Amino acid sequence: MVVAGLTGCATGSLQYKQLESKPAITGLSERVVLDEVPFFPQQTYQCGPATLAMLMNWQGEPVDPDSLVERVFIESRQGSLQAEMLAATRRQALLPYVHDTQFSTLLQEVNAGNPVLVFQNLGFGFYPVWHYAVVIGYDLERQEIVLHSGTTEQLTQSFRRFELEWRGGDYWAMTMHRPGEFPRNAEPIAYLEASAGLEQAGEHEAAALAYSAATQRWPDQQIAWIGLGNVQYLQRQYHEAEQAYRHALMLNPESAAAHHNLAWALMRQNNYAAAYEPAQEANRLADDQGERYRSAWQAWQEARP
Amino acid sequence: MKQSRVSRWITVVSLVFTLLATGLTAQTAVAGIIGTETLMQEQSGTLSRDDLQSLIARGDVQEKLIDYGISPEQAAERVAALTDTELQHLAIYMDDEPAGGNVTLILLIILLILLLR
Repeated sequence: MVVAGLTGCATGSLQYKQLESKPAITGLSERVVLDEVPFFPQQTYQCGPATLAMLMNWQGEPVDPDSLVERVFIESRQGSLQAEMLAATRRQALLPYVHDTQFSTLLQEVNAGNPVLVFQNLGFGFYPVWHYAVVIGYDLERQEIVLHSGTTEQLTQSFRRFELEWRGGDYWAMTMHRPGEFPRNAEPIAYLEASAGLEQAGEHEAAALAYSAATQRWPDQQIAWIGLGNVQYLQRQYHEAEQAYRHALMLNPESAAAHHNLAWALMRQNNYAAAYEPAQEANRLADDQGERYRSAWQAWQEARP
Repeated sequence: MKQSRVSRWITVVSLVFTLLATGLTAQTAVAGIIGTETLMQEQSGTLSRDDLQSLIARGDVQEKLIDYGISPEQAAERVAALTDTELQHLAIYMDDEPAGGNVTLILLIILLILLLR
């Protein structure tokens, strides 16, 4: 009891106990093991590169864990930061998706064929040992989870043990997807943020695929259309970008961003006559939505005094 | 003191190079359009006050990576793939952020302890 208290694991109930009563869970197969997920045993401390390589190879990218060391590993910290795990995924032109903290979500993803990279504390609250592992399977009846972890391929753990360690890592979980594909539990905002991450990292083609798929899946999400327009614009496909921004405007005619970026796409096509109205609209809406939306009108005036 | 000034210069110079190399300047200043991440931050109310702030955060994180022993070139490449949100978080909390990467020896000891609980 004393030991349990020291781990900081004595408070709060564990989610796995409620799994059976969850309706969301009923659609799950009793037992899943994604035994095709490749395994790379970690070198000292380097569970970050190893687990990333497992997911990347699962997505068809022949990436060696050693080549990821210089992308995510910090020698003096003897580990890898979560943000850098996401960044390294982007650099591979793959989409990293961070999930909610539900045990049921984890199982649903595995059931849908997505191995899940989890962050764990194998130590204690006062003496943490941070660790990344890949969940590749589970058994509902036996209440067991299957992981590629450290130097062990297909490690079997009880739900309880696993959840204690995963809870120690704040239930952090990510999956990796080819841009344009979705996790089982994709939420529009989270997916669009992940797509924007690809855009930000300069992976414009990958981002375009992700946004494009998002516009089909959630056609009412204005951000998806603006995002699509933005990466097309960045690839100098100004006419396509114009179409996407126009679609965004249909969804919300009061969006300064859509007017503003549309004006830019038109100016890039030397269509200053058509750019006049959206540039002015953006400038008007900038009063409420931010100074940054004045730039199109300023550029228009400079080009056409 | 001298050391930190040197490393700051290295950071600034390599930051400028990265910005040029990755075309980030094209995205923020030249291209004109407002990026999607900015827009999403705006809508969720988490947007930093100006572009300069995120540039500074990028520089801070890069410098910290160099302090951790990452080469300037690699540090530049690594920060280029981080989002503004991640950069602003790391700029403040990087030293406190947990870094995953256990040791087998410690693991064995801990496994033993865990078995006892």
